Amino acid sequence: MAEPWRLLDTGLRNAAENMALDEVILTARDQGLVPNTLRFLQFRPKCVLIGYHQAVDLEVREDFCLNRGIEINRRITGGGALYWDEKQLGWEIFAGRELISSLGDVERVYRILSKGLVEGLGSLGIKAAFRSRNDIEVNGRKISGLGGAEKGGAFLFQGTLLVDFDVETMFRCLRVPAEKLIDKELSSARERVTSVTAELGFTPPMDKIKQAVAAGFSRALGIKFQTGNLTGAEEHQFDLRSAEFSSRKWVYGVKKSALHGGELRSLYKAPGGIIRVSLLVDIPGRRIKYALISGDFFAYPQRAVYDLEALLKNCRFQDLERTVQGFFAQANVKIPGITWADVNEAIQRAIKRSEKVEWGFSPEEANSITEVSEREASDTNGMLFLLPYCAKKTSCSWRQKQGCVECGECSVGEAYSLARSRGMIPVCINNYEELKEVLSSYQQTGCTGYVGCCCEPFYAKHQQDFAEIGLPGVLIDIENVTCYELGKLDEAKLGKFDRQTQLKLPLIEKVLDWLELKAQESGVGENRCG
Amino acid sequence: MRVNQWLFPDQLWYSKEHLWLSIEEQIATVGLTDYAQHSKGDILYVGLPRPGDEVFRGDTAVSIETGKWVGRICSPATGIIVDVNQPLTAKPQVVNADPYGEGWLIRIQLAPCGETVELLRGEKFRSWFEEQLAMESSLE
Repeated sequence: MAEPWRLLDTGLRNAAENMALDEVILTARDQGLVPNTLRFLQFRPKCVLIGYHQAVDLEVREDFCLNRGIEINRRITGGGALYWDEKQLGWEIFAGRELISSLGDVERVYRILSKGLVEGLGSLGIKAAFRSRNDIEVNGRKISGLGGAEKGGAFLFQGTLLVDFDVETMFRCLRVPAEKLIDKELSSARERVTSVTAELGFTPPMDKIKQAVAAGFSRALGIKFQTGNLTGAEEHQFDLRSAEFSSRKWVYGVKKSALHGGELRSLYKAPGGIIRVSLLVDIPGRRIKYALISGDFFAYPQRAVYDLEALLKNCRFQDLERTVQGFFAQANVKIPGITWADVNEAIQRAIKRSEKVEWGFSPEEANSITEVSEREASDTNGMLFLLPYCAKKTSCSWRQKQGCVECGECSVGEAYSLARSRGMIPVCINNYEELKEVLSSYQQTGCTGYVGCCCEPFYAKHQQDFAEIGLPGVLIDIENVTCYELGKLDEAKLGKFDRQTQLKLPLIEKVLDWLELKAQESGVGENRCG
Repeated sequence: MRVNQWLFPDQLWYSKEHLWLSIEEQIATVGLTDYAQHSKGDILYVGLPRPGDEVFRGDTAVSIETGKWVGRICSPATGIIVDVNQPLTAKPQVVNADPYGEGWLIRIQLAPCGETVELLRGEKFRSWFEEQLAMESSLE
């Protein structure tokens, strides 16, 4: 008869202790000192755990965590950063490699070993399933994330089980896509995850959940458990190695440039609605780390978007088009008015912003810059510099007029001065019709480009119009609440929008420097307006 | 030699941990086999030791991450790390694309009396590897 597995419950421990135990038990299993083991673990205090190869500064909002006593540590397993509180149950399998031969295909291993948790959840009344690449989901919503590590002849396969979930704290701890943390983004995140409590409508006692999960693994893997404790050798190693796992060297030892992190966004208007994309990208690795796709469209089946996001984890840029197209074909996805090509285009636009980051813009700056039309604007001398009326003071007598007296009381005057210092022609714009007229008339005089400031929703609404005008340009987002965000478009059209926006002057200057540098590098001639 | 779709150049030695070794004048160049890179999937990160580090047979020498799986690759021999393939930290996908060429991992100056793990080649390797594949498929 096969040797029984050890059922180990190490209870509530801090992050460093739990991480040290991962290493100690994995090593002991590799050395043949302990049997295969199922371990349950929980965390107190709350903590953020980054993946083995991740850098803290790129993944974690350290100030927020430190101010709230949320610990930060590093796992010995791979994957992304996770937030843990007491409402989550960790489960881990430590086993010899013979269980799954030489590990084979990693996804196959995930699929086989996930059966234990799926069975366990089933006995609690929750119908869960493994989802490629490394989740367990319920109706498309994630309930458990999976990860693993191997060492010598042993491996560790682990997962979280969301018994309950505090989305807001997680978002504030981690640098995940949703920088602004607005209600819409939080509710969008809530739609993507579920928990035992959400599924059942109540929270079963933790012991009952553990029993169900252990029984699930027992059935799925055909094994028997014997309740056990850490061995003397494990306790000894734990005492020896605990300090290492709370050291700065362990937690902060990995340093990476900002190119390996950062969130890139896009907003794309397809016939069926707006598609919003937020990506975490590894720019040197040319891959998506995490994708969030939302918008005012309806997908059938509803879970399709979440499944696509799961599939896009670690997708290389070069494989994106094929992956999106294949997913739409295979999953029989229907989104009225939106094709796979629209979704691909929305994601590609976010990826394209990585070029700006490589040029030296921060990801946040890159998200504020949009290039219009295929031919890039270059030499700024003689270009138009378009400024929105809403950045003028609400009491300004020039608010609805094209000019500016440069009184120094708003950012428009400074922008006028900046434009002239670069040989550009500043023009204030009051609405889209005026913008079209200005661009058309200057285009006829031989002007070959513009730099403009507007809000993202304005561009999204008129992206097709901008493309049709055909003049290459660079648009820079404005700050503060716009008429679009407040739903005051009609008032704005009538000249009655009573808020003032701000121009991002430092970014505008940086963009102008960038354009001039690009022009010099490519030897572009002058783009003078007539 | 080919076993199923995987290539195993005849001139190399292979360990049961799916590493290949090329040993010349007491320096072993070590990498992942075609099978190992394929079965692990897209390699996202490679963590390398520093040249000059002393390694013992069985000690962790290299870490590799694929998806959410971290594999710590143990040194197949005792010695000193004399060279590492540093470009892999920026372009880890090279291990997938060219495991026996530009995807090599480390070079070890073998200790004079240092032991290596069991190394196989030729028919002996084929027979062991086919046995492994059969075991793996029986678990499906």
